[in-house]
Amino acid sequence: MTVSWFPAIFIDIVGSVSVLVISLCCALIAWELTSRKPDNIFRHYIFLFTLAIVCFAISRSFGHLVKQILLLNGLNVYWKQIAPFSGAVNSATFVVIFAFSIYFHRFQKAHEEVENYQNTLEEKIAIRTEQLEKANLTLENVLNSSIPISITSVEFELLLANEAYHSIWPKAQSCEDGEKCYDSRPGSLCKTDGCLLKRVKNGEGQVLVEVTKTVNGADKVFLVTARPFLSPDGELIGVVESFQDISKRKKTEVALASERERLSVTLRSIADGVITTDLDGKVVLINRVAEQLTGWSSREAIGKSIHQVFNLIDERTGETCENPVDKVLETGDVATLVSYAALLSQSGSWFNVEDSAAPIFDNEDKMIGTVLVFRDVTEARRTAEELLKIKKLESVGVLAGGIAHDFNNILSAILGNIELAEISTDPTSKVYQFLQDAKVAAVRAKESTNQLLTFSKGGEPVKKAARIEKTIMEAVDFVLYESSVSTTFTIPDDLWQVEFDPGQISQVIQNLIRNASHALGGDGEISIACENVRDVSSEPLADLPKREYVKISIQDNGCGIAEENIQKIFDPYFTTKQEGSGLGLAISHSIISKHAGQIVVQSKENDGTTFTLFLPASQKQMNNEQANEFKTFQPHRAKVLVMDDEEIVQKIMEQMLEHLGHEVLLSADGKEAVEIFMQQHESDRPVDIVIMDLTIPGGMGGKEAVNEILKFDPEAKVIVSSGYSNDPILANYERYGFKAAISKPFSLAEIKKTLQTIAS
Amino acid sequence: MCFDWSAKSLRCLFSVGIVTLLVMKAEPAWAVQAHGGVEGLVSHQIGHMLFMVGIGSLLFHVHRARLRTPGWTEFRIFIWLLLVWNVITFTGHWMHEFVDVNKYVRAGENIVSFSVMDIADVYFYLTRLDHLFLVPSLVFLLLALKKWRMQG
Repeated sequence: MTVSWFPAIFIDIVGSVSVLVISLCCALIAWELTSRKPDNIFRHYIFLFTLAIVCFAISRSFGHLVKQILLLNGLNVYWKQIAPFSGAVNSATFVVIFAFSIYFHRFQKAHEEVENYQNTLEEKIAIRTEQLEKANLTLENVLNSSIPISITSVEFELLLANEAYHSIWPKAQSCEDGEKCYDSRPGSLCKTDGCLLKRVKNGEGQVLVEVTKTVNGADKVFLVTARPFLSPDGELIGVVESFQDISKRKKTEVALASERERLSVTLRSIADGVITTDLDGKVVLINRVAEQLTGWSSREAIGKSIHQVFNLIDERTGETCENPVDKVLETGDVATLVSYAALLSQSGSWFNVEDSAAPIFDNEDKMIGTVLVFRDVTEARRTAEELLKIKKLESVGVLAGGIAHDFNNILSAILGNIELAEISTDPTSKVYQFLQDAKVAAVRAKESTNQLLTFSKGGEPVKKAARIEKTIMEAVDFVLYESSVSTTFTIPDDLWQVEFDPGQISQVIQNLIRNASHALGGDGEISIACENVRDVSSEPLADLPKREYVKISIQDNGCGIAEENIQKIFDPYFTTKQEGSGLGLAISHSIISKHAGQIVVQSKENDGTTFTLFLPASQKQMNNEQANEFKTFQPHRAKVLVMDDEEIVQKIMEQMLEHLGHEVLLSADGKEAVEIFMQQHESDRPVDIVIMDLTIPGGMGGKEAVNEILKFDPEAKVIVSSGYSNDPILANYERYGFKAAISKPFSLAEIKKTLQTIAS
Repeated sequence: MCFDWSAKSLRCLFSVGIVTLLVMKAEPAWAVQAHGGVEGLVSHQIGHMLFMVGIGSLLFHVHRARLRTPGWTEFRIFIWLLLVWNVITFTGHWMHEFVDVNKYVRAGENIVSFSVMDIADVYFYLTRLDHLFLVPSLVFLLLALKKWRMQG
C-alpha cells in the first residue's frame, strides 16, 4: 500500500512554523516571568530551560523548513550539504537541554531553600514589622497621652512633637518649614545663655528649669526637662524637651505662700505666745511673743525640745512642772496649766503664765503635733491680788468707818464734857490742868478717827483754809515716831494758808515720809521745806494754772528711784517694795489732784529723791482779819433744834449750846425734827438754827430732813454734823441745802464759830 | 549568562555566530579525526538519549516534588509529550537507516508517496508526523509559562 508523502511534508512545514511561533512566545513569556522576579532563582532556571527548548525547537523547525524548501525546489544537493550542520546543532541543543534538565532538582531545591529562607525572613520581617508598628503605635499613644513633648534639632528646628504640644503651640511646624523653636514657642530663656538646647549642646546631660513661655499671648510657667537626643552612633542631633504646665501650681504656690505669710504674720501678731510642736515634742514654730517670754529666738528654738524652750516651774517650790504638751501628746486632749506654774525664761527670769495646749489634727483627723498658747499673767495676777487686797481694805475701811463714826460720837461727849468742865473749873487748879490734858488726848483721838475715815473712804477732801505746817509736822512725827531717821524743817513764818483736807494731806505727807524712810534704810536725814510761790511759771517742775501756790519739798538722800521706774511710780499697784501695796503714791497723786495741786518727783538712782507738792494758796487768808472778828461776835439767844440719834451726843450738845446761851430742842431722827421745826414755826418763837446728824440708822437722816425743812422754810438755817468727817456731803454741804457743816467730835469753840458763821 | 541582553550578552551572541560560520565553512582537513558516515546519526541519537534521560529526570523530580501549583500540570504534560516525541523521533531516525529506499515513490527527486508494507512501515510513516507531538508539547509549555506568569 502506498500512502501519500504529502501529509508528512505538510505537517512538517506547518508544525515547524507552529513550533517557531510557539517557541518565540514561550521565550517571551519566560523572559517576562523572570523579569518580574529577578531575584527568583527558579524562574531564572525556567527561563534558561525554556530558552534551551526554544533553541532546540527553532533550530529544528528552521532546519526542517529549509529542508522542505530546498527539497521542494529540487535543491537536494544543498540540503545534503546543510543537513549535517542542522542535525549537529539539533544534537547540541539536546545536550544543553539534558544539562538543564538534570539540574532541575538542584535548582528546585536551591529555590525551595531560598524561598523558605525568604519566607522565613519575610515572616520574621513581617513579625518584626508588626512589632515595630505596635511599638510605634504604643510609643505614639504614650507620646500623645503625655505632657507636651518635642524633639528639637541642634539647628533649633522642630523635628517631632506630640499632640499635647501641638494643642499648645498649634502653629509650630516641622523642620521642613524651617521655623525656629524660639519663633514658634518663644520663652524667657530663648536666645540667652540659659537656652536649654545650648546647655545640652554644652554637655549638660539633663536640664530641668522653670521657663515662662508665651501661649496664645499669655505667659505661662512650664517646668521644662531637656535631655540630649542622640543618633544611633551617639551623635547629638537634638534635644528632647517635655513641657509641664505649672502655671496653676505656681499660682497656688504664690497663694499658699501668701496665705502662709498672712498666717505667719497673724501668728506673730497674736498678743499671746504660741508654740507648735511635732509629735516628738520638737518646736516647729514659735511666735514673737513666745520668743520674748521664753527668751529663745525662733532660730534657736526650732528643732529644740519643748522642755528646753518652754520650761515650766512651780512658782512656790521652783521645781519643774509637768509640761502640758506632754499631756496632749499622751492623751490627745486639750490640756491646761496648773495655776501655780511659772515660765522660766532662758535669761533666768520667770513669769506667771496661763496656757492651754491642744492637739493639731490633719485632714484625716490624725494628730500631727500640738499647739501651745500662753500669756504672761504676772501683772494680771498681781492686779488680782491687789484687787483682793483692796476689797479687804474696803471691808476694813467700812469697819473702820463705822468704828470711827461711833468713836466720834463718843468723843463728842467726852470733848464736850471736858470743855464744859473746864468752864466750870478754876484755870489755876490742878483739875483744870487735868482737863486740859484730857482735852488734848481727846483731840488727838479725834484726829486718829479722821485718819481712819480718810483711809476708809478716800473721798472728796473736806477742805478748810489753814496753815499747813502743823499738819506736815504731825504727819512726819507720826511716821518717824521711834525712828532713827532725822528731819530738818525749813518753813517760813509767812507761809500762806492752804485750803486743804488735813486728814488727806496728812496721809500724803505720811506716804512720802514713809517712802523716804524706806529709801534711807531706816537711817539718814529727810529735809522738809515749805515756801510761797507767787509765779508758778518760774517753777520748772510745775505744770499748773497761773496762781499762787504753797510748795512743799520732801527730800531724802536714799537709794533713789531707777530711771525706768520713775514714770510708773504713780501707777496704781506699782511698787518696788516687797511689802508695798503700790497704792500709796497713787492715792497721794489723787489727793493732791483733788486739791487742784501737783505732785512731782526728781530722783536719780543712788542719789536721793525729792518729792515736791504744789497746793493752791487760800484766798481766805486775806479775810483773816474779818474772820477774827467772828470770835467777838455773839449771836443772839437762838432757838437751836438738835437732831441726833445718839443720846450722849444730844445731851452734850444741849449742854454746850445752853452754855453758849441758846435754847435747845432735841429730836432723835429727821422726821421728828421736821415735825418739831414745823410746830415751832407756828409758835411765837420759831427755830432759828437746826443741827442735824447726817446718818440716822433706821430713820430719816439729815440729807432727807433738810429737804423737808427747806420745802417748808427755804430760809431755814440747817447745819449738818456727822461722825463721818470726810463724808462728801460735809465737803459740799451747800449743794445739799445746808448752811454749814461740822464734823464730830467738835469742840465748844467749833460750835460757837459755826453758829457765828450762820448768824453772820 | 547569555539571556541578559547586555553588552556581555551581545558579545556572547557574536562569538557563537562566528563559531557557527567557521563550522559551516569547515573543510574536512581541519579535523584531526574524521567523523563522517554513520557517526552523525549515532551522535544525534546519543543526543536524543541524553535528551530523554534529561527530561526523564526532570519529569521524575517534578513528580517527586509534588508541585501542585498552577502550571505544573501543563509542564508535566509538556514533558510527557516531549518524551513521546523523543521516542518517536529516536525510533524514526533509527528506522530511517533501515527503510528500503525503494519504498519511497519519487517524482523526480521528490518523494510523493511511501509504500507501506508492514507495521514497521506504518510506524515509520507516523514518525514522519512527529510535529503532532512536538507542537502540543510546546503549547503546554506555553500554557505552563503563562500560568506561572499569572502568579506574578
